[in-house]
Amino acid sequence: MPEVVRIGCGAGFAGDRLEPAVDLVERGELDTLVLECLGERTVSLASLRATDGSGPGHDPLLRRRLSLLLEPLARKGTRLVTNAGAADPIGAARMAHELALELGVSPRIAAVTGDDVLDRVDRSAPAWEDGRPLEEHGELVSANAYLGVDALLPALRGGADVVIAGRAADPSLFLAPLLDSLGWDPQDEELLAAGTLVGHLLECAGQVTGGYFADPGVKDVPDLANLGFPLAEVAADGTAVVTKLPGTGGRVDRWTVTEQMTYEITDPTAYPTPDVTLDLTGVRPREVGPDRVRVSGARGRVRPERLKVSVGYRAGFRGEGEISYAGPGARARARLAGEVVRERLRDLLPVRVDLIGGADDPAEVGECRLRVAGLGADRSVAQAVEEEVTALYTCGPAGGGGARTRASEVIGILSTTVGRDLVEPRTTYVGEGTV
Amino acid sequence: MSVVLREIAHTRAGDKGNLNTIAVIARQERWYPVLCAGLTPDLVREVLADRVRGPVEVHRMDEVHALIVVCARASDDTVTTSPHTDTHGKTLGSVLSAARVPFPGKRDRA
Repeated sequence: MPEVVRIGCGAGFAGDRLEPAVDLVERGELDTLVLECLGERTVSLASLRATDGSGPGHDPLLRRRLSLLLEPLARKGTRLVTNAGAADPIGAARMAHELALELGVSPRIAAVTGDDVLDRVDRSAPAWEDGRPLEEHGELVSANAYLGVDALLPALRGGADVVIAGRAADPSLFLAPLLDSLGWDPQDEELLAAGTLVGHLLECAGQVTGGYFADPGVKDVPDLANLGFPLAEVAADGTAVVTKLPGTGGRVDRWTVTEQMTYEITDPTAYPTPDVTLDLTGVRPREVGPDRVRVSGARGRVRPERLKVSVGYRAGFRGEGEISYAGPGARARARLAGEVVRERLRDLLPVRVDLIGGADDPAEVGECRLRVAGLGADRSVAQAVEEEVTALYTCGPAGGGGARTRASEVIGILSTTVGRDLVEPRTTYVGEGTV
Repeated sequence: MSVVLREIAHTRAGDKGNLNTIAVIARQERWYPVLCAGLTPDLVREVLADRVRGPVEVHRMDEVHALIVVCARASDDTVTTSPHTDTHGKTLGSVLSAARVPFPGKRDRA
């Protein structure tokens, strides 16, 4: 077993930049590269795309990412673990297999499935968000359990070079390769906690290296346009150094690491993942060199009994419209325009009206943009918002310009849990059958 | 005898469902007690009145001199269904950084 494993994060969300991951593979001497590409809503949207045939069930950017990464990954001997399979990990793995053939490389590619629990989730269970039964919110279109390391490890131990999952807990994408590479005991809650902390710090990619941080004059970040993505050097005892590649933009110090450690935490003594309950209150990041921060002190307790499930439902259609007013009195004219739209839509749906920019003093010369948004039961209601904002051109206050409108279906997201016994993870090697 | 939060702390907002989490990190260790005493759930509710609709919890992380503020938004104010321009609520950390908290001393800081 190696004494230190290097693991990097090449994407922190579906829309993340492409090239930092390539740089990490080329220069990072990584054991594993992770691409974290699923937000709470992403799987539901992917399910809909797959259902209505409007696009792939996997992350639509995955092909571009892999076309840049598969050759350097093979050349450097770096593994890839990603959740970009979204609603169709097997379809994504097939795509990756075809792409690998085109590129002349032959990685062992595994798809991890079993997160889809739409046919077994308890529809009468209360949603965490409002306590009402899931089924009362609307037609359910997806339900995906957050898989943990027990679902990901078989593929890694089976020698997969590319592991494509759907809904897996973000930190588990990192913890699984650490367990495999460092030979950690999957029952050792202190090591599970240490690896989960590493995953939590890296999972949003650039957010730990100076992204989502800069505040000019207060918190400056060098060369933000060329933000480097993070890697961690993880030792067998669980201590880790978070860093980034030399020559990249951004910064890694106790401030950026502390901001990411505290990000999207509710109870810092009990951050639940499928693998462990993580207590972050004993962790103190220490700067041990330029752009190098050591973390240790994560504590672990028994993992939650049940798995979290993200449920997507048809929530209606959002109609939105914007229009600009400028010059003296801009804000008053935008306000009047908003009142007009609200009155016109009074019997159809409630709307939110925002006045963005401008000043109330009529002598102030500025620009004010009106924005109106509402959620209706069907598309025609959402389109009425578009129509009323557009009609402001000739029927509204003086000098309105630059109207833009949009109506789109909304998939709402709810959270619940499911018993572990109802979730059956599977590993499928593309071209080699199911194990 | 008060100070704008941004003068003494960093903030970072995140979201889960209809919850917003806002980490408030003291820029100097000696200001952490100021945060602990001054950043009350009532103050958070007042400053974020446009979005916060439910309970506000504040958790301490003494090792890193940070508070974790957890605010419930309306049940229909989630990342996909929210009528707000910032559906995530990621801007709320910056909004909160404008809060004034009591600061021991003779005169108000800027």
